[in-house]
This record gives sequence, C-alpha cells and structure tokens, in this order.
Amino acid sequence: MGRRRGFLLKHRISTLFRRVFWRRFLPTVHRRLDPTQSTGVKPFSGLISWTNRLRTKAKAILYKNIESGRGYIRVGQDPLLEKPEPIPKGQMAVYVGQKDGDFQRILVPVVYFNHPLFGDLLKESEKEYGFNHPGGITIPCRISEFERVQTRIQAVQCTRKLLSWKRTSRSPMMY
Amino acid sequence: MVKPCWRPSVEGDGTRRGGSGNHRGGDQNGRVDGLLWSKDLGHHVNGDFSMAVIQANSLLEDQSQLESGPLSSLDSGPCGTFVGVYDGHGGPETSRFVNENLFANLKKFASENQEISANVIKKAFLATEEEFLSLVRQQWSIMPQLASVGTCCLVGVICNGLLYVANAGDSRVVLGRADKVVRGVTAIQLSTEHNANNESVRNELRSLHPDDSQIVVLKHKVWRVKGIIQVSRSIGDAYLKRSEFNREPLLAKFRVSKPFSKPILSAEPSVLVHKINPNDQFLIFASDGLWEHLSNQEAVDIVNSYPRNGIARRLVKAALRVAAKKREMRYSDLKKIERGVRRHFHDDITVVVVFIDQSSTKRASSRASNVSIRGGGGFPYSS
Repeated sequence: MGRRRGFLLKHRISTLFRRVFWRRFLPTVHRRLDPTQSTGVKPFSGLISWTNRLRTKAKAILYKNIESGRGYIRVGQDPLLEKPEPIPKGQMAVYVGQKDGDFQRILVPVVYFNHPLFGDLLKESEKEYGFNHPGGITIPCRISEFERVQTRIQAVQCTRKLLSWKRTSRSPMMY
Repeated sequence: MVKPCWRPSVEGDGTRRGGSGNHRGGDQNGRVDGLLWSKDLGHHVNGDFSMAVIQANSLLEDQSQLESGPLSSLDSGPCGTFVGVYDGHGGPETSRFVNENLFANLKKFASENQEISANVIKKAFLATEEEFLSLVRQQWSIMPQLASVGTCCLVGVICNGLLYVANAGDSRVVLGRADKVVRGVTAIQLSTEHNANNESVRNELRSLHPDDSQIVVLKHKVWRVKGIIQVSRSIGDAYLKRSEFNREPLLAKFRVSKPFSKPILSAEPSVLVHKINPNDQFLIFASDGLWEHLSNQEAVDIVNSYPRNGIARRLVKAALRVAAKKREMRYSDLKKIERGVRRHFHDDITVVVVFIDQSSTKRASSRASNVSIRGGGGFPYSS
C-alpha cells in the first residue's frame, strides 16, 4: 500500500510539474525545432538541447517505475495521463526521413500544413505512400531539406507579422 | 523571439473559423460549419433521417441524396424512401451526374414496371452508366479527362415493408437491429462491397480475366485493380470500361498499357432485398471514408446511444476524432487544416442515418413527407 502511494505521489508531482511549467516548456520545444536558432546561435542551441536531454532523462527515470509496475498502478488512472508526452495543442507529429535511413519524429505547427511550400512536401508523401498510410504522416526527404522549408515558412510568417498584426490565416496562400 | 512568429496565424485561423458561421444556410437545406455540412433532422415517409458530409478533397467528390414520397412518375405508383450515396474518384463530375440522373431513371423504370424491384434498380444503374458514357463520348474532343472520372454508387430503397440495397463500389450500409439477448442494438452489414482488398473480389476479378496476371496488383500496401483503382465496380471510369476511351488524347497516366477487349470494371450493382423486421431500427449509409475509421458496431452503438437530432454529424465527428488520433494530433487542430490538404488526414465522408419507424411504414401512403435533399447542398464549394 505504502509503495503504491509513493508511485501515485510521483505521478502527481510530474503532472503538476507539467501543468505549471507547460507554457514555459513550449518555447523550448519550438526553439529545438527552429533551424534558424540551431544554425545561427550555436552555443545557445547546444545548451537547449542539453537541457532537453536532461528533461527527457529525468522523465524517463520518473516514468520507469510506473512502466514496470504497469499492472496495478494504471487502475483508475486517467488514460490521457498514461502517455508520457501528449501532443501539444496546435502541433502534430510528422515522420521525416529517406527510404533506407531512419525516420525522425518531428513536431510541427499544424498551420504549416496549409502553406504551399509544405504542400509540396506533402505531394511527395502522397506519391511515395498514398493517402492511406497508416500512422503519422511520413515525409520522404532529408531532414536538412525539411528544416529549410520550415525556416522559409517561418520567415514568411514573421514578415507577415511585422506587416500586420491581425491578418487572418488566409494570407499564407497569398504571401 | 520565436513565439510571436507563429502565434498570430493561430489566432487568425480562430477568427476565420468563427466567421464561417456567416455562411450558414437555412435549416431547410441543412447548415454549413466550415467544411462540414449537415441536415440534423428531417422526416421521410418511413420515419426520421439525419445527414452529414465533411469535405476533404479540394472539390467535394462525395455526393448524396434522400428522396421521400412517390418513387415513380405515376400517382398510383410505389411510394417510399430513396437514399443514394455516391463516392466519386478522379473528380466530382460522375458523382454529380449520378446525383442528378439515377433517381430520375429509377422513377422511369418503376413507372414502366408499376413497382420497385431489384431488376428496376439494376436497370436504373445501367441506364445511368450508359448516359454517362455517352456524355464522355460527346465531350471526348474537348474534355477527354472525363473518361478518367468515376463514382461508387450505393442505393437504398424502402418501399412496402421491403428494403432494397444496391451497391457498386465500396460504400456501405449497416442495419441496426434491436437484440433482446444482448440488450442492445447489433450491427448487420447489408451491402456487398467491391474493393480489391477483399479476397473474394480479387478472386472474382482473376476468374473474369484469366489471361491477365496483372489484373490485381499490390501497391502502397493496398490491392488495386490494374494497380490503378481500389474498386472493381463503379459508374464512369470510361477508360476502364471501353477501349475506345483508353487512348489519346486522354493523358498517359490515366491509361492502361495493354488494350483490353473485356471491360475491366463493371457497373452492375450487387442487390439485396431485405424484409423489414419489427426489430430493425435504423440504417447507416456511408461512404468508405467513415468505415475507414469506425467499425460497423461502433457506428451502430453511437446511433443507439445519442439523440436522433444531429446523429449523422456526430458519426462524422467520431470518425474525425479517430483520424486525428491516427495522425498524432488533436481533433481541435484537425479543423484548422484546409480542404485539399485534408485528404492526407481523411477522405470525403458522407453519412445518412435513416430511422425506420414501424408505425409510419404501415401507412406508407402518407404524402406529408415528400422530401428531396442533396448532401452538401449548402456548400460554397460543392458546385
């Protein structure tokens, strides 16, 4: 009984931690994905990736016991909390890589999908895998190429932002 | 630094969504909410119905209709409910054509025969096919690509206590029947599907084309007829029906390499006649876009557990939730994806739920419920 309580407490702390620091985590996720940051400010991005690694490791330690004690700890738990990392709002996972290599799971803002440049990547995906590919959307291209497209979309969005604060999202089509 | 770059577009999208409510049409022809059209509740001769359509393609390829009242042009002729779900491919032209012409053909043959029968429905399918193929021939010099457009075709007719189901393609109708033993409603699939992913369909094709080793090919982990199309029966797809359309000026990518003497696809529907049982509660007609994400029983359980009003819309949303989960995103974010790109997440989905009210089936002559409604009728992009 005492053991079980210990796990629950750990779990609660992690949930609380996640809720409290959720907003603060978000930008780091973006920075990690943002190629301008990683290429432009090298030492800074190094620090970020180090903190990210640290966070992942810490999480792994925290969740290790839960995973091993799966049988009883999950009873009565909210199924949403079972996933170690839920998809953040406004983002989705895509798998980027080339046929023989490894595919990297990358979180991208959902609004990128409506951008014509991203549309070109999606056309490649359709050619290679069709529409009914099971699981996440898989984009057959090099990571570097994918990052370049992301940078260009971001650049456009930043310019738009400077031009007008309250433009609707129709504008990516007209940029 | 990074935050302001992406945030405005999210907010912007929010305002656009909110604004889309302005497009709402009157409830008579259903209502539009972004890419979702629905007619939440209506009445047909044999009970209530609910319809919903979600668009994924840049041009909506799914078409559908519900007609209630006289099923022939004669006053004394048969009366009942007609449901059609037409899942187009390669473009919207054929499904629109069928939506315009199939019911008129059915009425014509029902008048000639003074009744509804499996044969009358079959004749209506084949006549609509012939009419479309003549249109392709007529347009051949100016619009050869019309030869590459086709549609699946699912029809249900409720008349005199009988349900006729005719299907060519891979749309599906599922019956919800009250089951006293399990104290619930069980799903019974009534339509026969013609998708090459079914082994029986592949076997049928191989036996019809014994000389062609490439009649079914596995591509993208999906079985396709000639490596091109998943369904083995359809209306349209003229280039796979007649050799005369399998040539220039139709683009090479739409052509089959070897000339053929026998049609590769057929427009003949599989027909089932079902006597309506007092325990039969409702029918769910839907294009394959729904069944990709929901099982027959899941759909039946949803219809059984929630109010009739808006039930088709609820089914569509349930399927979209599953689609979003498969693509590792939130349902609320899926709504931000525009038509066209949406096709990477789900197909066009059409759902028609037809409730069978036993008391009104008996007095089928009630003329009060004359209805004629087209799915997606209020869409700004539908025509």
